[in-house]
Amino acid sequence: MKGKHTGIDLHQQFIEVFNREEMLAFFDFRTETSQANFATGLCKISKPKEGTSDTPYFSLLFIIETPDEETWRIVDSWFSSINWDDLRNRLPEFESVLSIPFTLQKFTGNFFQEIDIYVREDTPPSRSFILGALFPAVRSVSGIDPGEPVFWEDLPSSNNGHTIESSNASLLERLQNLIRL
Amino acid sequence: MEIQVKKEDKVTIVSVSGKMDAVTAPDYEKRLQELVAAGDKVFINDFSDLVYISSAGLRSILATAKDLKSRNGKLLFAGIKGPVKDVFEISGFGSLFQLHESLDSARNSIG
Repeated sequence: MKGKHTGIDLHQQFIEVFNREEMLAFFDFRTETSQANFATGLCKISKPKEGTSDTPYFSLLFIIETPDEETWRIVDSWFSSINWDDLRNRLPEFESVLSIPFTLQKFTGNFFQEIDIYVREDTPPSRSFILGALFPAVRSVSGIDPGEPVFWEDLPSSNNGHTIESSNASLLERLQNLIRL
Repeated sequence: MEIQVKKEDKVTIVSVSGKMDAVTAPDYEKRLQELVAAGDKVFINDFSDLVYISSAGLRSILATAKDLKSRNGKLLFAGIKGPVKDVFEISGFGSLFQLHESLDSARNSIG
């Protein structure tokens, strides 16, 4: 007798999570993935929309050009070697990190990886925090050679009491729910 | 990659075919920048015949959209399918831009 499968559409789950986030900034970067191998990519920095997550975090989506599967494997191996927990030593606001690989059934010619950086509740999503703390910490830990961040929205230039608060399900919470299914 | 530009009454249609990667994306960005500088504000990117887009292509789109945003312009997309659609969705572009099934649908949304 065949069992009945209840499928979980992770692709759709991620799209739903993206709909709960808003992009703050983006930057391009170049990196040496292995000896004499270089890759170029884009990083999107987002935060949860107001009222969509209980826990404040910055979501970094790395998209790296991998025209063939061999390049994809090299990039995957390089990315796996990054110790994101080192952010703890470089970012006082750091609480925890969640690394989410996107392994797709279909090869799209790009490598995707999301890094969610959970921070203290009083951390402002300001331009100065991103430029002065988050961006240099990410650059230092990952070793990438980034271009200048471009801000999508006009953000407050400094800490003014705004925090990246929210109230429903963050990606971490949603993944925890999925695991329980 | 090939780019064809057609100016209509209220909108500029930019049809892109082939592959938009680190080599070709700067051409797309330069072409759009020229049109924006010339005063065009509403664009529909017809990606029906685009078969591949890389992170460089996505960055060029974001840079163009950011520029247009500051000029109260608009960037819409039509006909995205296959791997390009997957890349758009996984990158969260579906929540940043209007994606339409067809060129007509995109045109109609402008009014």
